[in-house]
Amino acid sequence: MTTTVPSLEQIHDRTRSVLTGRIGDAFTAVPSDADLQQALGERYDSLTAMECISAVESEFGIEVDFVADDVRHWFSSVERMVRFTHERLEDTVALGLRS
Amino acid sequence: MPDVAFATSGSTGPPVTWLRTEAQLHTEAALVREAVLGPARFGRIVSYAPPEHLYGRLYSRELPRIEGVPVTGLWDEPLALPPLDDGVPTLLVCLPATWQLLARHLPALARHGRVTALHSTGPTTPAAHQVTSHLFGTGFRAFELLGSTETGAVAHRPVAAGQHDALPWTLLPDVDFLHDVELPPGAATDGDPTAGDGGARRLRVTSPRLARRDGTEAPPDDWELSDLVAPVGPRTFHHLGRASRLIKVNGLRCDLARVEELARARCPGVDLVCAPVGDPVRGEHYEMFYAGPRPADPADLRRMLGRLPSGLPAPRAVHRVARIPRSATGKVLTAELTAARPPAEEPEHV
Repeated sequence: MTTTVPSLEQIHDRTRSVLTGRIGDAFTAVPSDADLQQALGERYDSLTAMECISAVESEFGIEVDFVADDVRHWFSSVERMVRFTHERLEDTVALGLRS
Repeated sequence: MPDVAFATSGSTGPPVTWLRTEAQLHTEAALVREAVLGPARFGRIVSYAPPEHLYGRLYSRELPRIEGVPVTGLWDEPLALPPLDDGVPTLLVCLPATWQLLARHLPALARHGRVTALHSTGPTTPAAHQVTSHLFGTGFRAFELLGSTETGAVAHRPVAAGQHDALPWTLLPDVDFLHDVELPPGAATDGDPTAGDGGARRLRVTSPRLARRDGTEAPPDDWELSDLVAPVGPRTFHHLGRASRLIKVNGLRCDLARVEELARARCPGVDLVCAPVGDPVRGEHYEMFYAGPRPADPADLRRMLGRLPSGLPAPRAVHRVARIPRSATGKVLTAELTAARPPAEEPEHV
């Protein structure tokens, strides 16, 4: 069985959807390239970031390692989350094909 | 030696300063060490609780001093892992949010086998019970403290494995109940089905560790907390909720009445209320509901609300509703209000 990685656009839309569910009304108007901490202020503190990481993990079936992955960098904007998720999914598929 | 000051947010006004003697702080840390944590020795304390608040001061400063052990202070790094690789017997001083972090590292906690977690400043989260359940039998232990800045720790219990609030609380040895306080009619907390049925009462205690309010000569003889309890024995009780509109967002007090007062001043003409909600990371949080033709977008109301004063968190969500449901006497029907909002998504790591 061949597993395909969702496109960047698909990941983007799904990421925005899960973040809207997590952050709510405050997130709606935030551009995808915006720094979330700057755009949302205290509404995107460390704990909200942790919630968003959990939401992305659940949505895409990936795992984020708080030690090995630079979560402060990769979860600072939607665009970065999308790139991180896309790379992680590609890695997963590649590993799956090798096994 | 000067008394040590701890501030609480005033319910309707400026913060209040509560003073504790060094002896009270030492006594409390030593008491919890003996009565709750038991004889196990710790080689390290890792704390997520900031020392400017009472809980953090006691277990990030006083207890390490008593034990003569180093402290790893992670209160500014809530996503940082505790060191678990060296097998040193460790006490983790946890806030509600800490459990989401621990839930990500169950294998390391299980391998370690000599970790004790102490929890306070707010309700335990589902992750706390899941972690405790998964680590059952590995040597991991977890305990929960109930108290306030005014009283210090009042009671304790183990964190229940895989279930919520099933275990009764036990008073600390130097705390006594004052049983003569009945819940006044109509004082039941929103959404608490047990309050007001005759079994619930305000938790009123006396102990030698009550704080002295700044500007007074001595501590009060006793103190009534906002917690509603149902006694199950001479020194044990079930916690039912709170009689006030105070919540604790990851340990920080937030008075919803004060938030509403500020919000109504900044959003004149808007019918709005705040409702407490459970939060899987922070233990408790609140959401704001408003009714009316304007603003049409909740984001606009949030902009009108602006930044709240320091110490008051912004609402987790803002919802526009058709109307604010109220009883015939004008009481907001919180349960009906929160039932109408979109279902919360619960992060799961375990």
